[in-house]
Amino acid sequence: MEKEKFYSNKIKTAVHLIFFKRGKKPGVKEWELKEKIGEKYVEVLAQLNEFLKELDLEVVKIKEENELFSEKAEARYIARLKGNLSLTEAKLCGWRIDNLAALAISLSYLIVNQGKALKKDLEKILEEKIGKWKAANLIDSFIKAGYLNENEEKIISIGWRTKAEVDLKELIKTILEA
Amino acid sequence: MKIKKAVLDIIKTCKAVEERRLNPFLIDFLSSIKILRKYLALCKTFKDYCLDGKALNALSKVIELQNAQLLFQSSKLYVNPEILKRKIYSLSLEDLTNVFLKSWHPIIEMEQLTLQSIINGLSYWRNFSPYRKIKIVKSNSKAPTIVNGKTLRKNENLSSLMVKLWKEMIELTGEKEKIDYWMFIRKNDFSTTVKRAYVTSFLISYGYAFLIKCGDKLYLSPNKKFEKINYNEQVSFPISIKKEEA
Repeated sequence: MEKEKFYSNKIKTAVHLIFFKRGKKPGVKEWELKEKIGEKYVEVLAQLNEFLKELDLEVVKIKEENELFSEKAEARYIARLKGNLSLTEAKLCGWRIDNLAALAISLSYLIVNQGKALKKDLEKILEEKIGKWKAANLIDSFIKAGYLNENEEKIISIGWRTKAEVDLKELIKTILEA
Repeated sequence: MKIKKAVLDIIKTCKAVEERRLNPFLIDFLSSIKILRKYLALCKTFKDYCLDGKALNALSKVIELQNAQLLFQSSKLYVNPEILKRKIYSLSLEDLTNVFLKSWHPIIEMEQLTLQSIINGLSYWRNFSPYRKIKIVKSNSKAPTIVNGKTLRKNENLSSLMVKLWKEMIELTGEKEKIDYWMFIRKNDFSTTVKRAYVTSFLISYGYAFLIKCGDKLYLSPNKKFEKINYNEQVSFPISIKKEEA
Protein backbone atom coordinates (compact mmCIF):
# COMPACT_ATOMS: atom_id res chain seq x y z
CA MET A 1 0.00 0.00 0.00
CA GLU A 2 1.29 3.43 -0.96
CA LYS A 3 2.09 5.61 2.01
CA GLU A 4 0.26 8.93 2.04
CA LYS A 5 2.50 11.95 1.58
CA PHE A 6 2.45 14.75 4.11
CA TYR A 7 2.87 18.27 2.75
CA SER A 8 4.06 20.25 5.76
CA ASN A 9 5.47 23.33 3.96
CA LYS A 10 2.69 23.42 1.43
CA ILE A 11 0.08 23.44 4.20
CA LYS A 12 1.79 26.49 5.69
CA THR A 13 1.77 28.25 2.32
CA ALA A 14 -1.91 27.43 1.91
CA VAL A 15 -2.68 28.88 5.36
CA HIS A 16 -0.82 32.09 4.48
CA LEU A 17 -2.70 32.42 1.22
CA ILE A 18 -6.16 31.63 2.58
CA PHE A 19 -6.15 33.27 5.99
CA PHE A 20 -4.63 36.65 5.23
CA LYS A 21 -6.78 39.04 3.28
CA ARG A 22 -4.88 40.59 0.39
CA GLY A 23 -7.49 41.83 -2.03
CA LYS A 24 -11.03 43.07 -1.62
CA LYS A 25 -12.36 39.58 -1.01
CA PRO A 26 -10.97 37.13 1.49
CA GLY A 27 -9.45 33.79 0.50
CA VAL A 28 -7.47 32.76 -2.53
CA LYS A 29 -8.33 32.04 -6.16
CA GLU A 30 -7.99 28.47 -7.36
CA TRP A 31 -5.42 29.27 -10.05
CA GLU A 32 -3.28 31.13 -7.50
CA LEU A 33 -3.35 28.15 -5.18
CA LYS A 34 -2.43 25.84 -8.05
CA GLU A 35 0.44 28.10 -8.99
CA LYS A 36 1.87 28.42 -5.47
CA ILE A 37 1.23 24.89 -4.17
CA GLY A 38 1.17 22.80 -7.32
CA GLU A 39 -1.18 20.36 -8.97
CA LYS A 40 -1.77 18.45 -5.72
CA TYR A 41 -3.33 21.44 -3.96
CA VAL A 42 -6.56 19.50 -3.34
CA GLU A 43 -4.65 16.93 -1.27
CA VAL A 44 -2.89 19.72 0.60
CA LEU A 45 -6.23 21.35 1.41
CA ALA A 46 -7.64 18.02 2.58
CA GLN A 47 -4.74 17.68 5.01
CA LEU A 48 -5.19 21.28 6.12
CA ASN A 49 -8.87 20.59 6.76
CA GLU A 50 -7.88 17.72 9.03
CA PHE A 51 -5.97 20.18 11.22
CA LEU A 52 -8.67 22.84 11.06
CA LYS A 53 -11.38 20.38 12.07
CA GLU A 54 -9.94 20.40 15.57
CA LEU A 55 -10.36 24.19 15.66
CA ASP A 56 -13.93 24.14 14.32
CA LEU A 57 -12.78 25.65 11.05
CA GLU A 58 -12.83 24.47 7.44
CA VAL A 59 -11.59 25.48 4.01
CA VAL A 60 -14.32 25.45 1.38
CA LYS A 61 -14.53 26.14 -2.32
CA ILE A 62 -16.92 28.82 -3.53
CA LYS A 63 -17.69 29.89 -7.06
CA GLU A 64 -16.72 33.39 -8.05
CA GLU A 65 -19.33 35.58 -9.67
CA ASN A 66 -19.20 38.37 -12.23
CA GLU A 67 -16.44 36.75 -14.19
CA LEU A 68 -17.41 38.60 -17.32
CA PHE A 69 -14.54 37.59 -19.49
CA SER A 70 -14.08 34.00 -18.51
CA GLU A 71 -16.35 31.32 -19.83
CA LYS A 72 -15.74 29.09 -16.84
CA ALA A 73 -16.56 30.56 -13.41
CA GLU A 74 -13.40 30.95 -11.32
CA ALA A 75 -13.39 29.21 -7.95
CA ARG A 76 -12.09 30.67 -4.69
CA TYR A 77 -11.06 28.94 -1.49
CA ILE A 78 -11.98 30.51 1.82
CA ALA A 79 -11.65 29.53 5.47
CA ARG A 80 -14.81 29.64 7.53
CA LEU A 81 -16.28 28.46 10.79
CA LYS A 82 -17.32 24.82 10.56
CA GLY A 83 -19.84 24.95 13.41
CA ASN A 84 -22.01 27.83 14.55
CA LEU A 85 -21.59 30.89 16.73
CA SER A 86 -23.74 31.36 19.79
CA LEU A 87 -25.77 34.55 20.18
CA THR A 88 -23.32 35.91 22.75
CA GLU A 89 -20.35 35.17 20.50
CA ALA A 90 -22.05 36.85 17.55
CA LYS A 91 -22.63 39.92 19.71
CA LEU A 92 -18.96 39.91 20.67
CA CYS A 93 -18.07 39.90 16.97
CA GLY A 94 -19.92 43.22 16.68
CA TRP A 95 -23.25 42.00 15.37
CA ARG A 96 -26.52 43.30 16.79
CA ILE A 97 -29.51 41.00 17.20
CA ASP A 98 -31.72 43.11 14.94
CA ASN A 99 -29.03 43.25 12.26
CA LEU A 100 -28.71 39.47 12.17
CA ALA A 101 -32.49 39.10 12.20
CA ALA A 102 -32.73 41.59 9.31
CA LEU A 103 -30.15 39.57 7.37
CA ALA A 104 -32.13 36.39 8.03
CA ILE A 105 -35.35 38.04 6.82
CA SER A 106 -33.66 39.49 3.71
CA LEU A 107 -32.09 36.20 2.72
CA SER A 108 -35.19 34.11 3.28
CA TYR A 109 -37.29 36.62 1.34
CA LEU A 110 -34.83 36.50 -1.55
CA ILE A 111 -34.73 32.69 -1.50
CA VAL A 112 -38.48 32.33 -1.85
CA ASN A 113 -38.38 34.86 -4.67
CA GLN A 114 -35.81 32.81 -6.59
CA GLY A 115 -32.90 34.88 -5.36
CA LYS A 116 -34.09 38.28 -6.62
CA ALA A 117 -36.44 41.00 -5.38
CA LEU A 118 -37.07 44.71 -5.82
CA LYS A 119 -35.30 46.84 -3.23
CA LYS A 120 -38.49 48.64 -2.21
CA ASP A 121 -40.26 45.30 -1.65
CA LEU A 122 -37.46 44.09 0.57
CA GLU A 123 -37.46 47.40 2.45
CA LYS A 124 -41.19 47.06 3.00
CA ILE A 125 -40.89 43.62 4.56
CA LEU A 126 -37.99 44.73 6.78
CA GLU A 127 -39.81 47.88 7.88
CA GLU A 128 -42.45 45.74 9.57
CA LYS A 129 -39.85 44.16 11.83
CA ILE A 130 -37.11 46.73 12.38
CA GLY A 131 -38.46 50.14 11.37
CA LYS A 132 -38.28 52.26 8.24
CA TRP A 133 -35.03 54.19 8.53
CA LYS A 134 -33.10 51.20 9.76
CA ALA A 135 -34.33 48.97 6.94
CA ALA A 136 -32.80 51.07 4.17
CA ASN A 137 -29.54 51.54 6.08
CA LEU A 138 -29.19 47.85 6.80
CA ILE A 139 -29.83 46.82 3.19
CA ASP A 140 -27.05 49.20 2.14
CA SER A 141 -24.66 47.80 4.74
CA PHE A 142 -25.46 44.22 3.64
CA ILE A 143 -24.73 45.21 0.06
CA LYS A 144 -21.44 46.76 1.15
CA ALA A 145 -20.44 43.65 3.06
CA GLY A 146 -21.26 41.40 0.09
CA TYR A 147 -24.26 39.62 1.60
CA LEU A 148 -26.52 41.21 -1.01
CA ASN A 149 -26.07 42.57 -4.51
CA GLU A 150 -27.86 45.49 -6.14
CA ASN A 151 -28.07 46.27 -9.84
CA GLU A 152 -28.90 49.51 -11.70
CA GLU A 153 -32.59 48.60 -11.78
CA LYS A 154 -32.68 48.44 -7.96
CA ILE A 155 -33.08 44.67 -7.96
CA ILE A 156 -31.51 42.96 -4.98
CA SER A 157 -29.98 39.51 -5.30
CA ILE A 158 -27.96 37.17 -3.10
CA GLY A 159 -24.32 38.26 -2.79
CA TRP A 160 -21.03 36.34 -2.85
CA ARG A 161 -20.62 36.39 0.93
CA THR A 162 -24.00 34.79 1.51
CA LYS A 163 -23.09 32.00 -0.90
CA ALA A 164 -19.86 31.49 1.03
CA GLU A 165 -21.20 31.76 4.58
CA VAL A 166 -24.86 30.77 4.70
CA ASP A 167 -26.38 27.34 4.23
CA LEU A 168 -29.54 28.54 2.51
CA LYS A 169 -31.40 25.22 2.63
CA GLU A 170 -30.71 24.98 6.34
CA LEU A 171 -31.91 28.56 6.85
CA ILE A 172 -35.28 27.97 5.19
CA LYS A 173 -35.69 24.66 6.97
CA THR A 174 -35.01 26.13 10.39
CA ILE A 175 -37.25 29.15 9.81
CA LEU A 176 -40.16 26.90 8.90
CA GLU A 177 -39.49 24.61 11.83
CA ALA A 178 -39.16 27.45 14.36
CA MET B 1 -54.11 52.17 -33.49
CA LYS B 2 -55.77 49.82 -31.05
CA ILE B 3 -53.51 46.90 -31.93
CA LYS B 4 -50.34 48.93 -31.41
CA LYS B 5 -51.54 49.84 -27.93
CA ALA B 6 -52.11 46.14 -27.21
CA VAL B 7 -48.51 45.36 -28.31
CA LEU B 8 -47.19 48.13 -26.05
CA ASP B 9 -49.23 46.67 -23.20
CA ILE B 10 -47.65 43.25 -23.79
CA ILE B 11 -44.16 44.81 -23.56
CA LYS B 12 -45.13 46.66 -20.39
CA THR B 13 -46.52 43.53 -18.72
CA CYS B 14 -43.45 41.49 -19.69
CA LYS B 15 -41.23 44.20 -18.20
CA ALA B 16 -43.20 43.96 -14.93
CA VAL B 17 -42.63 40.21 -14.92
CA GLU B 18 -38.92 40.70 -15.52
CA GLU B 19 -38.80 43.11 -12.58
CA ARG B 20 -40.49 40.45 -10.43
CA ARG B 21 -43.58 42.55 -9.91
CA LEU B 22 -45.83 39.96 -11.59
CA ASN B 23 -46.02 36.21 -11.67
CA PRO B 24 -44.74 34.98 -15.08
CA PHE B 25 -47.63 32.52 -15.27
CA LEU B 26 -50.16 35.36 -15.31
CA ILE B 27 -49.38 36.19 -18.93
CA ASP B 28 -51.78 34.76 -21.51
CA PHE B 29 -49.41 33.61 -24.24
CA LEU B 30 -51.98 32.48 -26.78
CA SER B 31 -53.78 35.81 -26.90
CA SER B 32 -50.46 37.71 -26.85
CA ILE B 33 -49.18 35.75 -29.84
CA LYS B 34 -52.48 36.33 -31.67
CA ILE B 35 -52.11 40.07 -31.10
CA LEU B 36 -48.55 39.98 -32.39
CA ARG B 37 -49.61 38.05 -35.51
CA LYS B 38 -52.27 40.63 -36.27
CA TYR B 39 -49.81 43.43 -35.69
CA LEU B 40 -47.19 41.81 -37.93
CA ALA B 41 -49.70 41.73 -40.79
CA LEU B 42 -50.22 45.48 -40.37
CA CYS B 43 -46.53 46.38 -40.02
CA LYS B 44 -45.37 48.88 -42.62
CA THR B 45 -42.36 50.76 -41.37
CA PHE B 46 -39.07 49.63 -39.86
CA LYS B 47 -40.19 51.02 -36.51
CA ASP B 48 -43.28 48.78 -36.55
CA TYR B 49 -41.16 45.70 -37.19
CA CYS B 50 -38.81 46.71 -34.36
CA LEU B 51 -41.74 47.00 -31.95
CA ASP B 52 -42.97 43.57 -33.00
CA GLY B 53 -39.48 42.14 -32.43
CA LYS B 54 -39.26 43.81 -29.04
CA ALA B 55 -42.58 42.33 -27.93
CA LEU B 56 -41.58 38.87 -29.11
CA ASN B 57 -38.26 39.15 -27.27
CA ALA B 58 -40.06 40.22 -24.07
CA LEU B 59 -42.40 37.23 -24.34
CA SER B 60 -39.46 34.85 -24.77
CA LYS B 61 -37.89 36.25 -21.60
CA VAL B 62 -41.10 35.55 -19.72
CA ILE B 63 -40.99 31.93 -20.92
CA GLU B 64 -37.43 31.76 -19.60
CA LEU B 65 -38.65 33.03 -16.23
CA GLN B 66 -41.48 30.51 -16.21
CA ASN B 67 -38.92 27.77 -16.78
CA ALA B 68 -36.76 29.11 -13.95
CA GLN B 69 -39.74 29.24 -11.62
CA LEU B 70 -40.73 25.65 -12.40
CA LEU B 71 -37.18 24.48 -11.74
CA PHE B 72 -37.10 26.45 -8.52
CA GLN B 73 -40.45 25.09 -7.36
CA SER B 74 -39.19 21.56 -7.87
CA SER B 75 -36.06 22.29 -5.81
CA LYS B 76 -35.71 21.85 -2.07
CA LEU B 77 -35.56 25.63 -1.54
CA TYR B 78 -39.12 26.22 -2.64
CA VAL B 79 -41.47 27.54 -0.02
CA ASN B 80 -44.73 29.35 -0.53
CA PRO B 81 -43.83 33.05 -0.07
CA GLU B 82 -46.99 33.73 1.92
CA ILE B 83 -46.23 30.97 4.43
CA LEU B 84 -42.71 32.28 4.89
CA LYS B 85 -43.96 35.87 5.29
CA ARG B 86 -46.37 34.77 8.00
CA LYS B 87 -43.61 32.83 9.71
CA ILE B 88 -41.27 35.83 9.65
CA TYR B 89 -43.94 38.13 11.12
CA SER B 90 -44.73 35.66 13.88
CA LEU B 91 -41.10 35.16 15.00
CA SER B 92 -39.36 37.60 17.33
CA LEU B 93 -36.05 39.22 16.35
CA GLU B 94 -34.18 37.02 18.79
CA ASP B 95 -35.77 33.86 17.39
CA LEU B 96 -34.89 34.92 13.87
CA THR B 97 -31.30 35.57 14.96
CA ASN B 98 -31.04 32.15 16.58
CA VAL B 99 -32.42 30.54 13.44
CA PHE B 100 -29.91 32.40 11.31
CA LEU B 101 -26.98 31.49 13.54
CA LYS B 102 -27.71 27.80 12.97
CA SER B 103 -27.01 28.15 9.25
CA TRP B 104 -24.30 30.79 9.41
CA HIS B 105 -20.60 29.92 9.05
CA PRO B 106 -18.74 33.25 8.96
CA ILE B 107 -15.56 33.59 6.94
CA ILE B 108 -12.25 33.85 8.78
CA GLU B 109 -10.27 36.77 7.47
CA MET B 110 -7.26 38.51 8.93
CA GLU B 111 -6.84 42.09 7.89
CA GLN B 112 -3.40 43.63 7.81
CA LEU B 113 -1.88 47.03 7.17
CA THR B 114 -0.43 47.52 3.75
CA LEU B 115 1.21 50.57 2.24
CA GLN B 116 -1.84 51.14 0.08
CA SER B 117 -4.26 50.91 3.02
CA ILE B 118 -2.17 53.45 4.97
CA ILE B 119 -2.22 55.84 1.99
CA ASN B 120 -6.00 55.37 1.62
CA GLY B 121 -6.52 56.03 5.34
CA LEU B 122 -4.36 59.13 5.31
CA SER B 123 -6.10 60.65 2.32
CA TYR B 124 -9.48 59.89 3.93
CA TRP B 125 -8.68 61.70 7.18
CA ARG B 126 -6.92 64.58 5.44
CA ASN B 127 -10.08 65.35 3.53
CA PHE B 128 -11.87 66.20 6.77
CA SER B 129 -11.75 69.73 8.17
CA PRO B 130 -10.97 69.68 11.89
CA TYR B 131 -14.16 69.76 13.94
CA ARG B 132 -12.96 72.70 16.04
CA LYS B 133 -12.47 74.84 12.93
CA ILE B 134 -15.91 74.02 11.58
CA LYS B 135 -17.43 74.89 14.96
CA ILE B 136 -15.65 78.26 15.09
CA VAL B 137 -16.70 79.19 11.56
CA LYS B 138 -20.31 78.25 12.30
CA SER B 139 -20.58 80.02 15.66
CA ASN B 140 -18.52 83.15 14.99
CA SER B 141 -19.26 85.06 11.84
CA LYS B 142 -16.26 87.32 12.44
CA ALA B 143 -13.81 84.45 12.37
CA PRO B 144 -11.26 84.62 9.57
CA THR B 145 -12.16 82.69 6.47
CA ILE B 146 -10.24 79.52 5.88
CA VAL B 147 -8.01 79.72 2.85
CA ASN B 148 -8.47 76.46 1.08
CA GLY B 149 -6.90 75.03 -2.04
CA LYS B 150 -9.65 76.42 -4.26
CA THR B 151 -9.07 80.01 -3.14
CA LEU B 152 -5.35 79.61 -3.65
CA ARG B 153 -5.92 78.29 -7.13
CA LYS B 154 -8.25 81.22 -7.81
CA ASN B 155 -5.50 83.60 -6.72
CA GLU B 156 -3.04 81.88 -9.02
CA ASN B 157 -5.49 82.28 -11.87
CA LEU B 158 -5.98 85.93 -11.01
CA SER B 159 -2.26 86.70 -11.07
CA SER B 160 -1.80 84.98 -14.41
CA LEU B 161 -4.77 86.93 -15.76
CA MET B 162 -3.26 90.15 -14.41
CA VAL B 163 0.04 89.49 -16.19
CA LYS B 164 -1.81 88.67 -19.41
CA LEU B 165 -3.91 91.82 -19.25
CA TRP B 166 -0.94 93.99 -18.28
CA LYS B 167 1.02 92.73 -21.31
CA GLU B 168 -2.01 93.36 -23.52
CA MET B 169 -2.27 96.89 -22.14
CA ILE B 170 1.40 97.59 -22.98
CA GLU B 171 0.91 96.17 -26.46
CA LEU B 172 -2.21 98.20 -27.14
CA THR B 173 -0.75 101.40 -25.77
CA GLY B 174 2.33 101.03 -27.97
CA GLU B 175 4.20 104.28 -28.19
CA LYS B 176 1.32 106.27 -26.79
CA GLU B 177 1.24 106.80 -23.08
CA LYS B 178 -2.36 105.90 -22.41
CA ILE B 179 -5.36 104.03 -23.70
CA ASP B 180 -9.05 104.70 -23.31
CA TYR B 181 -10.40 102.76 -20.31
CA TRP B 182 -13.62 101.62 -22.04
CA MET B 183 -11.81 100.71 -25.21
CA PHE B 184 -9.49 98.50 -23.20
CA ILE B 185 -11.98 96.66 -21.05
CA ARG B 186 -14.84 96.36 -23.54
CA LYS B 187 -15.15 93.01 -25.30
CA ASN B 188 -17.86 91.27 -27.26
CA ASP B 189 -19.83 89.97 -24.29
CA PHE B 190 -20.80 91.52 -20.98
CA SER B 191 -19.25 88.88 -18.72
CA THR B 192 -15.82 89.24 -20.38
CA THR B 193 -16.05 93.03 -20.04
CA VAL B 194 -16.84 92.76 -16.34
CA LYS B 195 -14.03 90.23 -15.88
CA ARG B 196 -11.53 92.55 -17.61
CA ALA B 197 -12.72 95.51 -15.49
CA TYR B 198 -12.30 93.38 -12.37
CA VAL B 199 -8.74 92.30 -13.23
CA THR B 200 -7.86 95.84 -14.35
CA SER B 201 -8.90 97.16 -10.94
CA PHE B 202 -6.27 94.85 -9.42
CA LEU B 203 -3.66 96.09 -11.91
CA ILE B 204 -4.39 99.64 -10.80
CA SER B 205 -4.44 98.72 -7.11
CA TYR B 206 -1.09 96.91 -7.31
CA GLY B 207 0.55 99.63 -9.36
CA TYR B 208 0.85 97.82 -12.68
CA ALA B 209 -1.29 100.54 -14.28
CA PHE B 210 -2.52 104.04 -13.58
CA LEU B 211 -6.03 105.34 -13.96
CA ILE B 212 -6.07 108.87 -15.36
CA LYS B 213 -9.19 110.99 -15.33
CA CYS B 214 -9.37 113.63 -18.02
CA GLY B 215 -12.68 115.47 -17.87
CA ASP B 216 -15.35 112.87 -18.52
CA LYS B 217 -12.92 110.42 -19.99
CA LEU B 218 -10.95 107.72 -18.23
CA TYR B 219 -7.58 106.51 -19.45
CA LEU B 220 -5.30 103.68 -18.48
CA SER B 221 -1.54 103.98 -18.54
CA PRO B 222 0.59 100.83 -17.99
CA ASN B 223 3.46 101.01 -15.54
CA LYS B 224 6.26 99.41 -17.51
CA LYS B 225 8.71 99.62 -14.62
CA PHE B 226 6.79 97.39 -12.23
CA GLU B 227 6.82 99.97 -9.53
CA LYS B 228 5.18 98.98 -6.28
CA ILE B 229 2.18 100.87 -5.12
CA ASN B 230 2.32 103.58 -2.55
CA TYR B 231 -0.55 102.66 -0.26
CA ASN B 232 -0.88 106.20 1.14
CA GLU B 233 -2.02 107.43 -2.23
CA GLN B 234 -4.56 104.65 -2.74
CA VAL B 235 -7.93 105.91 -3.82
CA SER B 236 -11.19 104.18 -4.44
CA PHE B 237 -12.67 104.89 -7.83
CA PRO B 238 -16.01 103.21 -8.53
CA ILE B 239 -16.86 102.65 -12.17
CA SER B 240 -20.22 101.15 -12.98
CA ILE B 241 -20.62 98.99 -16.04
CA LYS B 242 -24.00 98.95 -17.66
CA LYS B 243 -25.02 96.09 -19.90
CA GLU B 244 -25.66 98.49 -22.78
CA GLU B 245 -22.14 99.84 -22.52
CA ALA B 246 -20.53 96.40 -22.81
